[in-house]
Amino acid sequence: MQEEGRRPASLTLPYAAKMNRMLTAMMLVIFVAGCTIGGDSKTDLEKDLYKGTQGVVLTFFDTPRSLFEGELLDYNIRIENKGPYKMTNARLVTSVEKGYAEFSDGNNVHVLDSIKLEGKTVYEPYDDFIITTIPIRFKELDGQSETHDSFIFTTFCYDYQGMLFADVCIDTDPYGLIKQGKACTTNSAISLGDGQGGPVAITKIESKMMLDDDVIRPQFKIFLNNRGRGSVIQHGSVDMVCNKEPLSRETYNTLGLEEIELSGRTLSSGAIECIPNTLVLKNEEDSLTCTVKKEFGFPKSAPSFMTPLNVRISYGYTESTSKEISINKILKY
Amino acid sequence: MKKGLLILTILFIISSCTESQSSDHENWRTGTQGIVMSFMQDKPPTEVISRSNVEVMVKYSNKGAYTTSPTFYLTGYDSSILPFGSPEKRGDSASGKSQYNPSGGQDEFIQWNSPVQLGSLRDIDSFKQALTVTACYEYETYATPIICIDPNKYEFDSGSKCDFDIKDLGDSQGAPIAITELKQKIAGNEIYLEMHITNRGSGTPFLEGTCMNLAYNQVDRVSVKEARISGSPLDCTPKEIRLTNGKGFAVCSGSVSDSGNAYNSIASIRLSYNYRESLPKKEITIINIK
Repeated sequence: MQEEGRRPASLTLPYAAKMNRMLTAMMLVIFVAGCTIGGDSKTDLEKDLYKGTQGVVLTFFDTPRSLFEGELLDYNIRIENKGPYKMTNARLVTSVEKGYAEFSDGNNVHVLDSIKLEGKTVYEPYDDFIITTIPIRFKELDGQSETHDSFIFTTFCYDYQGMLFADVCIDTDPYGLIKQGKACTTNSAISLGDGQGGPVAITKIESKMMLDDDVIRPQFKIFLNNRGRGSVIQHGSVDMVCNKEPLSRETYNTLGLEEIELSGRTLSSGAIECIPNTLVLKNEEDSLTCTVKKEFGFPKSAPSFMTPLNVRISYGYTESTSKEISINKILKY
Repeated sequence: MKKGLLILTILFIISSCTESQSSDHENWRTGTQGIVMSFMQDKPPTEVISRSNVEVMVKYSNKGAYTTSPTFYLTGYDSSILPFGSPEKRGDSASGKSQYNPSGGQDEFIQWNSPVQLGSLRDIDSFKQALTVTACYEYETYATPIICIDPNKYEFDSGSKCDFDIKDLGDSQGAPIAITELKQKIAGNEIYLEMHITNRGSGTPFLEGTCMNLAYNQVDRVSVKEARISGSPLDCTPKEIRLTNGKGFAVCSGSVSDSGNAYNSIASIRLSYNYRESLPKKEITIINIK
């Protein structure tokens, strides 16, 4: 009895103490975990929207490699805007082999117009997308054929743009003649290998600061490259390319130079001149040289400073793909 | 016991008096700093949202031994995007070290403020601006070394000699330009002082020109404003010292009393110059929130 009486007394107190310790430890763990979770939930704003070379991407859902005559196939396509620009004037043309397949309206060409996808923003850095379903019915094969390999062709055209914001240095003392604590110095070449969010990328900028009397005239040589898998078409020519209309010589590989801006001096206001003034890709690349006019130059007595160089281009883009499907006859034997 | 306590108290009072006397003689004209400045924390911040203002605040104080009014220049930014107004701001008179304030002046502040004006750059995601602040101020280096003058220095059996060390010069005088060495030569009543100076600060001394637009022939120049020994003026050549790799020298000469005996005399040398110093640039990223 004594032992029994003593035992609870000797066990009860340490047990309570243990329980207290455990509770305290658990509360601490919950508190620390709460803090950690709170810390992880902090999100940053997307500071670099203009990157990548994908633009608008078409993804085809899995389709069977072969199916039977008379079957209906739901041809699903995901159109996703991976860039920061609004996709406008887009057209998706799907065609099937006449006599072997048809769309719900009985035609072998299906056109989907008025597709609009928003670009990414600082607040919404997500890719806007739509999924479209195009039902295709495969017709019965003629009596002599057991199988037939047919193709589904898809062509997608859209108008897009490109925007570059590169931090450049307006070096008012390019030859280091003035002893000053410069905030920046000119980089002879700025590499921009990651693209600006569209298939046409400005890949490099070579900058020079030309001394012209009392002013500095910055000059930039801008290199462009088609980094996508498709072809560049003239902005606004979607109706021609994704249609049956005849094409002109300028339709392919022509880009529009919309604007160049440097510290309030713009191409459209005449403060900057560019040579050549039209961009035509040759072997998927081109370059142009833009110079600030003398009357809009920067005073050489002012200190050097950094400013964003903005280059805006416009273009259309087209990409085509085909998918092979084997149509099999339903054999009755 | 009482006697013992009394003696201890007296000893304590005497010793504390002695301490304070010695601190009075402390040389406060030391150090190589002039105007010391730094960006205040997060002013400017490393990231700024386009809707908010960009605030630049610089803390400065005079850690040298000459009172000056610095002018500050904010540079490195595109004024069409960040219209800070005048990039030039005149600071208040900043007193430096003194006999009664040997640690230097109080902290003072100067600030610039600007909204972000993106104008036609409305589609930009983010961009960088480099901000730097340059301080320009007049400054003086003043040294009062004790020089032993012995007209019979080169005579073998001269009676009363003093050592030929130049005392109380130190290696800095509470200014970015330091008189690092003085060498004396004496011939009869003619004394020649060879003065070596060094730019011990991180900035650039100059005499003429616009602070933010100094040509190479305008920088690294220091003027010998005054040189005296025993109250008599010395003639220094050159009067305008050109520093090479931060170092330069001048030779000052003049007449001294030819009493025959060696004696200690106080020389006073005053150098004057303008000084320009910049903070390391601070890059800020401006994020466009439409």
